[in-house]
Amino acid sequence: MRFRLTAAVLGVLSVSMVAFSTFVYWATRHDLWQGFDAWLYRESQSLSHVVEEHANSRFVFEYQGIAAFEDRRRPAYFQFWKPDGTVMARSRWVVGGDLPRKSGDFGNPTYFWSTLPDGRRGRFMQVAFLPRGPTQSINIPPPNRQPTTIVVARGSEDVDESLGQLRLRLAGLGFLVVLGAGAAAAFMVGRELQPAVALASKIGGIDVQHLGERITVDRLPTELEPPVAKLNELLGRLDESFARERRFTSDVSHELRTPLAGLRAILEVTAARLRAPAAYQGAIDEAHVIVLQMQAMVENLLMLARLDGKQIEVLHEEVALFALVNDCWKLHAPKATERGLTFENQIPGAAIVETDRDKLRLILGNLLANAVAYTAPGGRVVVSGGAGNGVLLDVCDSGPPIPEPMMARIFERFFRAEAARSDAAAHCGIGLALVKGLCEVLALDVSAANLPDGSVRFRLAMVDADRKRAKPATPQPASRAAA
Amino acid sequence: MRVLVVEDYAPLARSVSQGLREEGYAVDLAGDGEEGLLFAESNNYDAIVLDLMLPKVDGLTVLKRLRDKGNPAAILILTARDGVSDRVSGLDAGADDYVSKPFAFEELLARLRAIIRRRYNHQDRTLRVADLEIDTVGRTVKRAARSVSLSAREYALLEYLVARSEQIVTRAEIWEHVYDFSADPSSNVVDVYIGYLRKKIDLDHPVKLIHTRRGQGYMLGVDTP
Repeated sequence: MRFRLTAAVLGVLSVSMVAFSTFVYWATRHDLWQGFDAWLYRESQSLSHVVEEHANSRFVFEYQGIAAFEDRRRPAYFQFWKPDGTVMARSRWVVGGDLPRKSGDFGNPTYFWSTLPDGRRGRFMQVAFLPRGPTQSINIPPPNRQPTTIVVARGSEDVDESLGQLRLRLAGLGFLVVLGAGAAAAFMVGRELQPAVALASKIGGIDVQHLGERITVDRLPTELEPPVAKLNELLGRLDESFARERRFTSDVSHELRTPLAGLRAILEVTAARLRAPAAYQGAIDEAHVIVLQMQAMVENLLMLARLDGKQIEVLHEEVALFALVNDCWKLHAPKATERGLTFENQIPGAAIVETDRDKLRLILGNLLANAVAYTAPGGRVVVSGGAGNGVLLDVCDSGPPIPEPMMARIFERFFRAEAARSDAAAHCGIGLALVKGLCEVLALDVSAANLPDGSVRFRLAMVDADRKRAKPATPQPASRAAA
Repeated sequence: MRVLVVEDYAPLARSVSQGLREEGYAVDLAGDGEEGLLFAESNNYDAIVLDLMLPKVDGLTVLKRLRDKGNPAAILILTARDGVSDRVSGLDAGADDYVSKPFAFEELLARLRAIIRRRYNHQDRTLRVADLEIDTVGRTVKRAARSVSLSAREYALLEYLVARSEQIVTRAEIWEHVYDFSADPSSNVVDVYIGYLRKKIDLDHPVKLIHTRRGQGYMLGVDTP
C-alpha cells in the first residue's frame, strides 16, 4: 500500500510537472518567436522608410547603416526588390546570391524559415509595400503603382539557444522536483500509514491467549477509529466466548474428576487384596452406579452441546402429560423414599400436550431430580398443571427456599447453591441449565420462585399457546402416585 | 495412626476410608465441612484428608480455622481443583500436601505416610528404637534383625508408640490415635493389644522396650527409670 500510494503520488506529480513544463516552454517559445518576428517587422518598417519612389519608377535608397545588418560576425540581412523583380538593394553581407523570396500579399508580412547566406538557420520576413514618395502615403497604393518587396532575415541561434537552455532547465528542475517530491511523498505516506502499520502489528500480536487486550494506537486517524472500535467490540465478544468455553471445559473436567476418583479408588482398594465374592460384588455395584451417573452427566453435556450448536430436531406429537410425569418419577422414587419424600401427581389424567416427548421427559427428569436432591427430608414434591391456562406444568417442593441472591443464577451452567457436590455427577450444576436450553427449544418459559409458604416452584409456561395447544382436561378424579 | 477423611462424595469417601483402614489406619468420616470441623476439633487426629468443595463450610475455611486454633494434624488436600492458584491457596492456608483427583490410591497412601512422618519429625521411612525397626512403607517390623509378624491393629499401635518413643503415652491418647469411632470402646482393649505386642516384641528379648507407667500409661523405649 505504501509503495502504491507513493507511486501514485509520484505519477500524478510527474504528469503535472510535464504538463507545467510543456506549458511554460511553449508559452516562452511563443513569446520569444513573437518578439523575434516583431523585431523583423520593426526592422522592415525602418528599412522601408529609407526607400523613396520618385517619378518614372526611380527609387532612391538612403540607407545609412543599421548595426544589426552591419555586424560582421552574425549579421542580419535584408534585400529590396523593385516591382519588376529586379534587386533594388541588399545588406552588406548578402553575398553569393539573393535572399529567398516567397509570393505574398501587399501589406501582409510573410514569415518563413530558410538558410542565411552564411549558412546559419534563419527566420525570414517578407512584406510588399509602396515606398513613400515625396508627397504620398506609403500604404495607399495608387492604381498605377506596383509594390516593392523587402525581405528581412536574422539568425535564430539566440532564440534556439535560449529555448534549449529553457528545455534543459525545465527538465532538470522537473527531475529535481519529482525526486524531492517522491522522497517527501514516501516519507509522508510512511508517516501517515504508521498508525495503520502499528494497527496491523497489534492485530497480528493478538492470539487466543491475549484476547483480553484491546487495540490502542497513537495518532490513530479519524477514519480508522470506527473499524478499530468495532474490532475491539469483536475482541470483547471473542474474549467472553473463549472465557465461557474455558470455564465450561474446566467445570466439565472438574465434575468428571470426582466420580472418576471415586471409581478409581473403589477399583484400586478392592484389587489391593483378595476378598470374599460379596465384597467384589459390592464394589462392582458401587462402580456401576458411578458409571451410570457419569453417563447421565455426559449425556446432559452432549445435549447441552447440541443445544449450543442448534443441532436439536424437535418432534411434535401428542403426549399424555399425567403418564409422562409418573414415568419420570419412577427413576427418582427410590431416592425420594430414602429421603422420606412424598410425591403427588396432580396433572389431570386426560391432559394432552403437543410437544417433543423425549425433551419434555428430560426437562421433567431434571426438575424432579433437583426437587428430590434439595427438598428437606420428609418433605413433599407435587407436579400440577395441564389445565390449558398457559402453564404447562409446575413442579413444587416443600423447600427450603432457594436463597434470593442465588435465584437469578440457578439456570447458569455449573452453578450450585453451594460449592459442593450433592450426589456428585447427578447434580453437577448442568441440570437446570439443560432444562432452560430445552425449554427454549420447545418454546417454553421456565422460571423458579419461592412461594410464601416456604415451598419452591419451578414453572413451565407456554410462550406460544397456539403452538403447544395444551388441551384442557375434562374434570375427572386425578390419579395419584406417591413415593 | 488416626485419620479423618472429610469428603462429601460418598463412594469416594467410603472407598478411601476402607483402603486406609485396611492399611492399619483408624479412620473417621465426615460428609461436610461443618462435621469435619467438629470431628477435627474434638479428636486428636494424626492426619486429615480434606476435600475443598464441601457443603456447609468449604474445605479452605475448615483448613484455616483448624490452623488458627493450632491444630497439629497433618492435612492433605484432596480435590478436583488442580489449578496453580488452588494449590497455592491450599498450601498457604496450612495444608501439608495436595493431591488432585483422580489419584492413585498408592500415591495417597505414600503422601499420607510422608506428612505423618514429618508431623512426628521423622525423616526416614524406617523408625528405630534400640534393636526394634519398623519399615513404615513395607509395614514390616524387626526385632534384633528378626521379622515380627503383627496384625494391622497391632502394627498401628506399635507404629504410634514408636512415633512417640521415649514419651509416656496415655491410654486415652492411644485410643484417640489408633482407634476410630467404629472400634469397640471397651475400656481394656488398649491393655489387651499392649499385651499382644509385648508377647511379640519383648518376650524373647532380655531388653524390654514396652513399659507400663502405673497411673499414667505406657512408654516405648529403653527403660531409664
